Amino acid sequence: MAQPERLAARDAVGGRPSAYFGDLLGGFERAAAGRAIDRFYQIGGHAVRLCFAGPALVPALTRAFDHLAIAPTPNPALTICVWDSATTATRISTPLWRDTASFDAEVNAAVNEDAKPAVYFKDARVHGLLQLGHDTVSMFEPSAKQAVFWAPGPENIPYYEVAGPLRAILHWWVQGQGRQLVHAGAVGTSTGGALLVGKGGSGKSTTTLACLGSELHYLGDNDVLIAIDPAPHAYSLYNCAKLDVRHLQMRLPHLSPLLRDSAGLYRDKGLLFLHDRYRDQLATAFPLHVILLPRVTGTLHTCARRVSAAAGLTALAPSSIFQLPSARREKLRQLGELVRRVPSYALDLGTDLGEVRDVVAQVLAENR
Amino acid sequence: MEETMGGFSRYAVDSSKIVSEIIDGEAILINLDNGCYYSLNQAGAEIWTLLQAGATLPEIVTELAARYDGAGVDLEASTQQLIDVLCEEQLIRPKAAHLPQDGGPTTPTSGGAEPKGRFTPPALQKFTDMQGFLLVDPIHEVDETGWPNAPAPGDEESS
Repeated sequence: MAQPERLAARDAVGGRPSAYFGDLLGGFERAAAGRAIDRFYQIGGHAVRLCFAGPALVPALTRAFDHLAIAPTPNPALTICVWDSATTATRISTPLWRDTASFDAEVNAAVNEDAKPAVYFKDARVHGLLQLGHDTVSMFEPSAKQAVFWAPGPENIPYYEVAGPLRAILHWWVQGQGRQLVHAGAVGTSTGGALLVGKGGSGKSTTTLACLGSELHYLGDNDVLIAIDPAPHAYSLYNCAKLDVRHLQMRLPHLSPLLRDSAGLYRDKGLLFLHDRYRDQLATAFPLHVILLPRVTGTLHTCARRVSAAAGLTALAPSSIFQLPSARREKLRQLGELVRRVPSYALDLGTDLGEVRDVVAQVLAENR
Repeated sequence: MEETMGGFSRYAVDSSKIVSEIIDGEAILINLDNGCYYSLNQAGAEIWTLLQAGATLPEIVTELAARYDGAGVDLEASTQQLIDVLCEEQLIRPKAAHLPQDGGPTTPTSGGAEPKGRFTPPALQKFTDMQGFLLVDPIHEVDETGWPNAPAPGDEESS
């Protein structure tokens, strides 16, 4: 399919994304009318304030952060204003799509899981993402430490936004905090943990969920924040795991009650909010000691073997880089630095999940 | 017009769409435009580095001959083969003559008394599993009234 010419107009920015950001914030102020609802979270070691114009989007966009909740703080490192038009009876201004003809726009379908296209745009001040199909907008202004998320209404919030809320905004923001959002799972203890990397279906979620109930705590199964300096570290982002429902019922039936907890929040998508039942099993941060590359083998036994740093980077970098736009070159450089410092292991997954857990623990013990 | 040295091309990497990282002697290359990514073994990574530095085919072969025991291997043919594939994959292209000279190596930077390792021909592995993430034309998802107005059913253009 030929790329539309207007999307190639990368040099005619004109400042309109910034103006649109101002319009969205103005809409938020009108929608909130002085009655905003605040929630505070510790994300990547920094306080973040979610400021909702009304109650409608609060459940869908906060449950995945429950394990990171903190008391209100006066100077958050980021404030995200969240609102929708339907429940606040507040319209947005000019439809944005016409303006994107001259934005520095990039079409990218990688930011979600149902192949709905998204358009990334930016100018000197702001980043923006239009999620077409669901018609939501995420925008971030680094210098103001402020972001806005807008949806036409609560029904426009897709299940992946519930499982991993505000990802694009957090992706842009953490880069200024010395962090990177990576497509990976992570399990471990307070003394050290493993990053699980690989494309969808490689066994990241199964491995992390199999560790629940052991000494290895869950930090994430699909999106994790990492820091490289001063030493590699992982930070939890969401407490929501996603797993195919049939696979869950066959392999991890003891977790099925979590699906009932998710009733009304996309139960058919296999969203498992772990905070309510497993809060003692959730880690918020730990040093990174190994990178594991899981692979489903279908055999009974699980084994781990050392692989090259290049193999680790090949498993980690592409999906982390393509899932969200901007700063991809810097992200590759940082992920390269990570695999130089942290040893990589192939993890050939067997069908005995207890053994999977044991092998992960053993590799970690050997790399303390 | 291509930039040449004694009839041999120098090559350029379009850094706006190609990113690469060398890790422990191996290379990973990513095409940000189409989602393809590649791994290069040690010899491939060395050739990639030399190409980025502006070396021509004979200069690369001279360098490899200084670094490796190339007995029984046609260094020039295997290097040319990799260059051809890199061009085919649009990871490099012959430099235009008007581009400024980067100054490629004309004499080997390696070699000397150290024993040489055996030369393993360069190998490029291509991965395409990220392509599905990229480049969906959004124009068909909206109508002419502009985003966020979704098109009426049946209004979408075919392509």
